[in-house]
Amino acid sequence: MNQLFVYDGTVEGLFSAMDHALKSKTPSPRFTVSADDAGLFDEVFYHETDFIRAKDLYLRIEAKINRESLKNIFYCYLSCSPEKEQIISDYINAGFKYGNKLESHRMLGLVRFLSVEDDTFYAEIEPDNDILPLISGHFSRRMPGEKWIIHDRKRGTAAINRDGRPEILSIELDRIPDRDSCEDIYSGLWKNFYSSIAIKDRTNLRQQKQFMPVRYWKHLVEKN
Amino acid sequence: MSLKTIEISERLKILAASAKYDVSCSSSGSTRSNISGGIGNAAKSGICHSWADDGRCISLLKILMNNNCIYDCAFCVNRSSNPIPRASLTPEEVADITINFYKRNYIEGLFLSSGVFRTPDYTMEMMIRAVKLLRVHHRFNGYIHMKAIPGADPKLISEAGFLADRMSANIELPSRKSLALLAPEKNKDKIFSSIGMIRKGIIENFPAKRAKTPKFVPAGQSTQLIVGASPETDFSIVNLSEALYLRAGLKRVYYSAYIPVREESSILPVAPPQLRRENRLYQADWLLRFYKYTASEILDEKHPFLDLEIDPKSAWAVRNYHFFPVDVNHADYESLLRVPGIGVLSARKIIQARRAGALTPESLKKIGVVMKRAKYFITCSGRPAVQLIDQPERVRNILAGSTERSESSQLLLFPEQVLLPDRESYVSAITGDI
Repeated sequence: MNQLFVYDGTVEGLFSAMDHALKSKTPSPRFTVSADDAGLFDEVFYHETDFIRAKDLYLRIEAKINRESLKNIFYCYLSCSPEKEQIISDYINAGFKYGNKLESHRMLGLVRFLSVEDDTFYAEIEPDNDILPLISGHFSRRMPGEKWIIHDRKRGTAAINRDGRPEILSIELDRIPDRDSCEDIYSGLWKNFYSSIAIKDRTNLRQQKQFMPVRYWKHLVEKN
Repeated sequence: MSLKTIEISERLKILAASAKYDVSCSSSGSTRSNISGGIGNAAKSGICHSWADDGRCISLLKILMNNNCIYDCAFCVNRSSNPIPRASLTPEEVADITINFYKRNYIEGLFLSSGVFRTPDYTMEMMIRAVKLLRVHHRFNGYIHMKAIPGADPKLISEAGFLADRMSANIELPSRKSLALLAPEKNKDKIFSSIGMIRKGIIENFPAKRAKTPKFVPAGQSTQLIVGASPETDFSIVNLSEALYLRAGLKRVYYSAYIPVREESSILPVAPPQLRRENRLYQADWLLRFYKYTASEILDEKHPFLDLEIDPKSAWAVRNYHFFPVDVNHADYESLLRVPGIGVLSARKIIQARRAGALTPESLKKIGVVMKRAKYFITCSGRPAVQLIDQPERVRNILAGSTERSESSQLLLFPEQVLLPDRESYVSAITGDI
C-alpha cells in the first residue's frame, strides 16, 4: 500500500508535502494534485501547505546538495510531465545520498581530535548527514593502535576504535572528557602554523569558505 | 615532553612562514598502508585538512627545518642578507610535532624542506634524521615529501628516496642566466644533477611485476618554477616543463607567481604577483600532461607569451582556425580534445554516446561540454550549433569578452566552473516573492 500525498499544486505545497514524507520516513510516497489518481489500495493524505516545512526542505537542499539542483527542481516543477512529482522526489533522494558522499569525504579532513584523559583521542562532529559509519573505517586504518572516539553530537552516536575496527555506539555524554595536559601545546602549535602558512598577498577568503563552509568551523581548532 | 613551549611555537611560526612560498601541497599519488604496530597510511587520492586564508589547501605540515641559509638568492625570503628572524628545529622536534599533528587529524603528513645550513650534506643529514625517526622509531606510514638539497651527496639523496613518498628539487628560475644572476651559489648543474639522481633511483627501484622492491619516491618527483622574477618568456617556461615531463620523468611542475620579498631591488621587479599568468601556465601545463599538446603548439617564437585574456587551448584553436570546425559525430578522440570546451571526460562521453545516435547541441550540453566556447568550433553531422564566424580574430574577442566577466571577481583555476546567479533570484523564483 502506497501513501499518496495530495498537495495544492503550488511549489511550496509540494516541498512541504515532501518534507513531511521525508521526515516521517514514509516508504515510497507519491505526490499529486488530485485524489483521483489514487489507486485502489492507496492511502490518501490531504496535505495542508506548511510554509515553514517548505522552507526547511529548501534550505536543506541548498546546504546538502547545491543551489544548482534547486533550479533543476523548479524547472521540473514547471513542466507538464505527469510524473514530475515522482521525478523530483527521486532527484532529491539521490541528491541527499550523493550529498552524503561529498560530506563524508570532506569530513575525513575536518575531524579534529583532542588528546584527553586516559590516553584517548576525542573528536566532536556535527555533520549534516549521518556519515559516522562512512568515515570511521578510514580512521581505524589510519590509527589502528590508538584509543579514539568520534562523537556525533547531533545524533548522540559515537564511533570508537576496537582493535583496529570501528564500532558505532549510541551514547549520551554528560561532559566532555578532560583535556590532557599536553593538548594545549599541540593545538597552540597548530594555530600558529595555520596563521603563518597563509600568504597575505594572496588572501582569498571566498575560496577558503567555498571549500571549508563556515558551519564546520565550530569544531576546527584553528578557527577558534 | 621536554619541548620549551613558547619558544618552540615561535620557531614553528618562523619556519612555517619561511616555507609558505613553496606551492606544492599535494598528498596524493602514493599508497602506503599501515604496518602492524605503526601509525598512519597514505591515501591514493589525497585529503585536504584545512584551508588557509589564501584559499590554499593545507594537507601537510610544511616547514623548513632551518631557515638560516648560507646562500643569498635574491628572490628568496630566506636569503642570508635578509634581516628576518632565524630559527631551526631538531630532528626530534620535527618528528614529535608531525606525529602529534597527525594523531589529531590536522595533517596527512610532512613536507620537509630546509635552508642550506653549514653545508648541503649536513642539511640533508639533519632532514634524513628527522624522517628516519618518523619512519623507524614512530613507525609512521603517512605521506612525506622531502626536498633534495642541491649539491648534497648522491648517497644521501638515495637514502632520502627510500624514506620519502615524494622528492623535489626546485629549479626556481627557468634559465641558467637568471639563476646565475639571482642565485649565484645554486647553479643549474647542481639542481639538475639532484633531479637526475632522483630519476635514477626511481628507475632502478621501479617495482617489477610481483617483485618486492623497496619503495623509492613512490609518488614521484616534482619541482617549482618562480614566474615573474626573471625575464624568461612563457615559451621558454613551457618548453622547460615539457622537457621535465618527457625527459626527466617528473610527476608535476608547480608554478609560483613571484611575490616581492624585498622593498627595493635593482634586479627584481616590485610589481604585484602575476596571478593570472600563473593560472594560464597551469592551464598550459594541463595541455601538456593530459591533452597531448606539445610546447611548440602552445606557444612559439612569434607568440612567446600566453594570452592572458583567453585560455591557452582557445588560443591554439584561434591560431589554428583551419583545423575547425570539428564534427562531433565523426571526429576522432584526439581531434575532439582540441575543441575548446571539450575536456577529457566529455570527449570520452561523446565517443560513447554517439554510438547510440547522432549528437545534437542539446545532447552535448547534457554531456557537460561548455558550449559557450565549443559552439564556435564544432558541427553536429555537418550542422553548426551557431552561425560560424569567418574571422578567428573575432572569435578570440568574443571568448575574451566572456572570460573577462566571469574572471573579474576571482581567478578560477578551473575555468569550467559554473557561476550561479545570486541566491535572491532563486528564492523569488521558488517562492514567487518579488
